[in-house]
Amino acid sequence: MNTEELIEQLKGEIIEQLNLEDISKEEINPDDELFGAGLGLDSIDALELIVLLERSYGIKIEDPKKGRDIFKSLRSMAEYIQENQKD
Amino acid sequence: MNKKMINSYVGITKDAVFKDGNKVFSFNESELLNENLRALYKSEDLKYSKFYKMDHLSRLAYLSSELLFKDLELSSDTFNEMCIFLTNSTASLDTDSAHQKSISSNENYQPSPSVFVYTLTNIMMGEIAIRYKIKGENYCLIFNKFDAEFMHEYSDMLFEFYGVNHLLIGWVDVLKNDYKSFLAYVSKDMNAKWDFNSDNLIKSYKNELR
Amino acid sequence: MKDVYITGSNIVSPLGMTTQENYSKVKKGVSGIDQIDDRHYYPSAFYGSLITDNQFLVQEHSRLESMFIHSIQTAIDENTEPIDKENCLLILSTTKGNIDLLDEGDEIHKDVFLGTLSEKINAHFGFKKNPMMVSNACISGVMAINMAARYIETGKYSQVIVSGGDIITEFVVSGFSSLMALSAGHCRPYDKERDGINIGEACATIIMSGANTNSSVKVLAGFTSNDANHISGPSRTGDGLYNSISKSLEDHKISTREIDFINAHGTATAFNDDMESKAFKLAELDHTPVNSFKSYFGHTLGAAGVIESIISVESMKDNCLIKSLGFKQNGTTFDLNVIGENCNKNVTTVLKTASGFGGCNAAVIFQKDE
Repeated sequence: MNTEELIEQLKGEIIEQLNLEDISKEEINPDDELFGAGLGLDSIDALELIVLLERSYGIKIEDPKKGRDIFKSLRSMAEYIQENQKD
Repeated sequence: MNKKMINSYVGITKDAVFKDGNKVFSFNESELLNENLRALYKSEDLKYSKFYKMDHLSRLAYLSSELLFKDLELSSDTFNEMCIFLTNSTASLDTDSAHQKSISSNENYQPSPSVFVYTLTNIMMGEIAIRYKIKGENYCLIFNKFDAEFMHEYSDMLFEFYGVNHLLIGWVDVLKNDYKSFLAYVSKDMNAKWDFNSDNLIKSYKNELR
Repeated sequence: MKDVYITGSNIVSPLGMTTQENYSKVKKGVSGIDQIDDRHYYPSAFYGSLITDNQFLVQEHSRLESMFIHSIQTAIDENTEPIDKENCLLILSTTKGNIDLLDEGDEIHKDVFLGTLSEKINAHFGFKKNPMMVSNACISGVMAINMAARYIETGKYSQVIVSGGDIITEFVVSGFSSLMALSAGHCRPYDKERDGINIGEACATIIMSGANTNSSVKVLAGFTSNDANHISGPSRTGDGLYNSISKSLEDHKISTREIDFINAHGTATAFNDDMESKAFKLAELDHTPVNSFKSYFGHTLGAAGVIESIISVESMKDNCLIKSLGFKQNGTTFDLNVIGENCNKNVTTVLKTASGFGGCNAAVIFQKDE
């Protein structure tokens, strides 16, 4: 799967995992900030993204502080998955 | 002794939504809680995306507060000092069950942080507080039945002795598809309609105070 | 307003079955926290504070009910005045009650309902007044104490028993683990290297009265507040907790200089302890000696406010500042005066604070009756 395809897949997954029901895939810009101004996610969402990474991609994040960089944007998240994915 | 008055109240039952004793919205009889709450959210044309992250209890509490406060034009100072006092019988069991299910199988052990944070009854008060920036005192107690006498007695004490001028009081209860909410705004506004006493509290709880 | 006195207390915890046993162990620096490696609680080992001496268990009652019964009965037996069963009020405090009886099935065991739990305990003691059940996250214990004190100072009741309790369960451990909030070892409140909480179980009881029967300690009821910021993250500014503290002090006309020490919430999460440092700084209490008891008992949730108040009162009576176990080096946004070693000091007034999920905060003051 290339990065763009993974990003599309992630859009669907994060909408479901984070209960972003009022947001459509089209509205999510892969380079926008996930936290802060962009999608406005919070600390609980960050933890849910950690759960998503482990469950769907087998990547375990031990230190939640690392999440800041990994989850900067959907693109950075996709790139991290591609670098670290185990099955 | 200052008089305290019930300014307005809202009730949500399995059948309908009431404001000040008048039916303002009817639920589809066959629909489940989840669908009914979404229908109400859409019908009120609300734009509060946090709604979708909330559990059933918080959604019910939040929607009740939107309906209660929408026409009241209360100032931010009023909200800032407001006291919230809620009770129920099922605590957070509706969501507790979801969390319990997520840890019931060794093979599929998946506790979810966004579910777990709702396994405390007072979170529903936190959601209302966040929405309206309510920073005063807050109380959450559990009783098997709505106890108007206790609630009136303690609230009255808050008004008389502990500097409360504005109170959001009520009962918000959810367990699977059984649910009921009742929220009332009480203040010292002499122009308000009803005296705040335990009889009127019971009547408004039953959506019968007119 | 009438004065409110503490006439009795009890603690049931891994450090003992009486207030004295618990205080004496805390003074010696003994912690109830240990590694727990038991699938009953969690698939992997974690650090928590578990009661291993099960002498308190009562037949046909759950673990938590047994703790409540044992603690309340012991407090009653040692109370400086007899209990008036017709007129006394029982206020319980718990976050999850008998949640160990909840399973994944659709039927919910009747004793899981907190109203039923409070009625059961009340009926066991034959109290005639209806009980109250406070369930307001981690401020429940302090809230229950404040409600009790308010009922007495306004003359509504002359005797109130407050009892707070929670047990360690897989429900709670798995939940905090999903929040990545559990420490990898013993928790270290306010310390630079702190990394989260330890869960603890305990039950603690305080009996309060409007009559001064051989009591030496008064309760000055405080205020709760809400941050209105986030349901699980503490306020970034600390002003919710600051408001609770300042209203409580103002109401009793106590200046910050008069506070001899603060027993704070100090859960040892990065955010909570930082928030508290901001609140204490705002309140000009950042130089006042402060400690947290979470490293002795773990975070006992619904019991926390009560158990920590009792130990604070005992240390006040003993004129001893108890060290904040687990602390080595300041690691909060603002430096606090964390008590590093036990030391003797004339203590007359203690401030107890608590904060919890849902953005809630509470404060209460204990004062020697001179």
